[in-house]
Amino acid sequence: MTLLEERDYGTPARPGAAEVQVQIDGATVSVPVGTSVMRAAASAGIEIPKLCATDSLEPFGSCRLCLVEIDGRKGTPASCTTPCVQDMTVTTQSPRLQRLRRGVTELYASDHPRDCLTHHTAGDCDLRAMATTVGLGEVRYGVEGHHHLDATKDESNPYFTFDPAECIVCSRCVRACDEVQGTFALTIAGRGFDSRVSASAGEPFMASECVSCGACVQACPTSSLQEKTVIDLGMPQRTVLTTCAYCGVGCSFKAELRGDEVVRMVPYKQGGANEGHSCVKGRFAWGYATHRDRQLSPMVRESITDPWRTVSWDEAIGYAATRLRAIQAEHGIGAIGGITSSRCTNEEVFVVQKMIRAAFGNNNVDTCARVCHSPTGYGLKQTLGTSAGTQDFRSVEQADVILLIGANPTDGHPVFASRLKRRLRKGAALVVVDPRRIDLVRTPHVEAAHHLQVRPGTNVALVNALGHVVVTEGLVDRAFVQQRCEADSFAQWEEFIARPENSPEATEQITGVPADQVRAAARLYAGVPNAAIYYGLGVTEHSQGSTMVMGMANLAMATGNLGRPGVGINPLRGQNNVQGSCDMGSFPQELSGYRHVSDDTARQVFEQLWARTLDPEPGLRIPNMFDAALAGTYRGMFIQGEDLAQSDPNVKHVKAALSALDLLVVQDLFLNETAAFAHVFLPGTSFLEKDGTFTNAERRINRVRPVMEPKCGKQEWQVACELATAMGYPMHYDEGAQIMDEIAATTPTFAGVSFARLDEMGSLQWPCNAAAPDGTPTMHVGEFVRGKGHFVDTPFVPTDERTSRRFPLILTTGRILSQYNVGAQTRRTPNVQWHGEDILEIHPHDAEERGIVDGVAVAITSRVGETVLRARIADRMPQGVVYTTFHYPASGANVVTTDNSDWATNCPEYKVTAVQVMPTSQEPAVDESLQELAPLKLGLVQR
Amino acid sequence: MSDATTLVRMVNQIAANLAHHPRDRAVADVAAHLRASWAPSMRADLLAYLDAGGPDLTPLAAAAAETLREPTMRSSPE
Repeated sequence: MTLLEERDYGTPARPGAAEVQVQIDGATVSVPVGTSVMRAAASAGIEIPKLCATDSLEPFGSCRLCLVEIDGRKGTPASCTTPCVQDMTVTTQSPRLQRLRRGVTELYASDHPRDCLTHHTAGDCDLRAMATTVGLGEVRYGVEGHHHLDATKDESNPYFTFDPAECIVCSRCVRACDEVQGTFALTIAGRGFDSRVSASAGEPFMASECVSCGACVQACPTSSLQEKTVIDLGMPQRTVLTTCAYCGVGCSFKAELRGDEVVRMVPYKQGGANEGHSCVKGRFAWGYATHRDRQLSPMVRESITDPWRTVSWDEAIGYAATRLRAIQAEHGIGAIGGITSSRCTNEEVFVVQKMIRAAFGNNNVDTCARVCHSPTGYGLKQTLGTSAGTQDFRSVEQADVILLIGANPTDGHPVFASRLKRRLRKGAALVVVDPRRIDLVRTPHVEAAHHLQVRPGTNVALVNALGHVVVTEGLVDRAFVQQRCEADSFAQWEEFIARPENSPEATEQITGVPADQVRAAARLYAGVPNAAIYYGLGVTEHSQGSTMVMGMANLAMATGNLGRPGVGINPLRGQNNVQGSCDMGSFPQELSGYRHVSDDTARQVFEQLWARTLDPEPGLRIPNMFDAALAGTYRGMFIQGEDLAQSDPNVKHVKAALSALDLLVVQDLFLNETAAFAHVFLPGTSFLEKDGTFTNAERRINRVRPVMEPKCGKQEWQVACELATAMGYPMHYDEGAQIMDEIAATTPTFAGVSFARLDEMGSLQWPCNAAAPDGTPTMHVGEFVRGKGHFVDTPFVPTDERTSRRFPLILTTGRILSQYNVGAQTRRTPNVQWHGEDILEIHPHDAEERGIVDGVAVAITSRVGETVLRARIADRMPQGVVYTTFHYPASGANVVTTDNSDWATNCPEYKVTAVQVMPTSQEPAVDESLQELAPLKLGLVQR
Repeated sequence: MSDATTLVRMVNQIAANLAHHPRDRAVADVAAHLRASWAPSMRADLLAYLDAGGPDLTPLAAAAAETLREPTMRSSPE
């Protein structure tokens, strides 16, 4: 594809039917009420010159280039700010308009670098294009007078430059920061000729509140805000549409290239998940894909104490196959297994689980979703009938109340957070349930109606209290419950939840949340037409994670908040393909489409196609694999693209288990922490090389298209096929599309999905089948997947992880905007300039008691381990609770987390670890790759 | 054989979260959960622990584990 230039209609689309008819340059155009003349003209193929207008922003009317003539009206109104009126007659081209536009353009050009206007410099400049459009031949004004051409560039941001000399002060960047991103970091400082774009209060971009989402760069009509890669490499020449490899929002991007070199990633306006927006990770932090640390050749070694030996693909695969079969011969079919990755495509994951079930001959397959959203799968399947969020992201625009539980979208899911903030600015109310005062509790133009600062580990008591208020204060949507839900399970739940022990007054002792706040929040949630729940790992990563998911489902069903836009239960998934990896049959008890392995009918579908008898019993889950490895019954493992030795809890236990294996095969981009325990290393592919699909948190299946050949020479699914074949079970596909065809043939919810359909539609949300050929943005419309909604009693059972005199504080963990998961990707980008190390946040009172001051090293000790971090005194956490991230292996946050887990799924209880924190003379370990940045770290960490 | 301590902790935790049901249903639900989500090797290890006296199992967990000895119909996941 050549460079894809998306049509810019100048102003946003308005909802509704095209009922207003106007004449523009003789053409009849019908548009919805409120549509601007500029957009109406554009929709008729008539381009009106513009500089300050773009269709991602509300009209502003400042540049005065888009002037038009309207019959019966005086003057020349701006077409961007003039709405269409029935029977309006508009003229967009006339000698008068041409003269006015040329004059305005000349004035802009008089204070703009002349070389930009006369020849193509690096970057794109609409002013240059407009000069051509309006026929501006020369600029009559010299540069002797007052001008901005010598203004100093701001190059503080690692990814883009702000050059005031190129700036025309159109405010597009300021408006993008406000309207699109919702950060309000930019403004126009000064007046008149002194007006200039200013980050925060005249600070460099890097020191300002700017979150580097790139919205301003994208909005800038000149090269004033420009990607440094464009300045370095020149303008891109071609586009490949693909999907971001970071969080579960799954943003669509235009990968723009010169030759095979990526120049920039630009968010795609037609992307269903992001609709043209991005965050710092997806927009800019893709350099890891070609980082020098990439390991591109297969390697083997006999023992993990031996040095690696680079070998051919054939030798590595043959070696792995031989040893895996030898282990099975000696220790049984079930002595090996594998783990799929939520960073890999659906096709790669499907092939790996097929390899394990069909070639390995057992169900010892699990996925990294085990440690994040497995309770979502369990809880939503029990109550609603399927393991998926109920809405599309767009749905939030119709929510009146948003109940945000255990999620921090501005850091973890920033592009969704921008949507959310947009809705909140328009008047929706927000209730935050989180031990930490996340940014959304109070951020520019957003303030939560309630922040229920729940004690870690007590979510279920809180959700029960919310349910109690709904039931006892007559807030149940009886009509919905009667029509849509099971009468008997509702009656039982109603009796359970109404018990005094579930009242806000009783649970206040457990949760720490004042009863009146709980009552007010419950009334708010239940008292509006549309209330939606969004949640994250602060729900799932608890000993009652699954119970909490069911508790939220109870609440939504009882209040009738399911089955239409604006409502629902929406997990914000951690990694880009968590939903997909679960959909693809990565859990040991489930085939693709969440069908239990004991389901004879489902199993026979695969058995016939794969010509293999499949085990009808569940296999081992990740923690079970570790335990079995230490017991000596599990001895060989294939790990696809995950770093368990950093990401999983109680790392000491994990490392002991990995060390006990006879054979560990790791497939990854980098020699990660887990690879230290591997005998075979198989290189992987970055998202820029993959050919497949990702499924995001709204069940949206997006294409991942390769922009370059695999740097290691093979697609990852090819490697799995070759390993299976070498083990005696031939597997082969010619291309990724064939794998999706097999997924569709075996998985009812994917029956209508193919690469061709995805190319045609852009994306599809499952279920996509004969009943829903174009996919399903909203689930459970009319009827739940399981038929009637099932209420589940959710008694609060305290976690076994308790504070004590020895471990008096609770440690909880989370993420930061600039880093992603274990940091394997983002640590290999300039994002380290924002977050160079993991920091422990501690409440001032807890710090004072221990003699801890801001910035000192502290030892964090739990029942299973100890690590050292630098402390930051912060009152975001309540007294008694400390917080850190886990993006750096050197900081070892998971050295201290325990192997307590969710009762139903074994999802680790990362969010609750009893610890002691004390000052130490030991310095925090510094990640090797960051030695040179160490002196800068603390000052650059976001506060 | 897996570490009995871990298995015992897991099954006791499952039992604690399902103990609110009437006794017969709680036993059945715990057992169904174990059948649906535990590998046969883990269930066998649990039974071995039970055979050895099962000292640290809660009564509900022990009762549910005991029912794992009974054959079950397929296609009846939890």
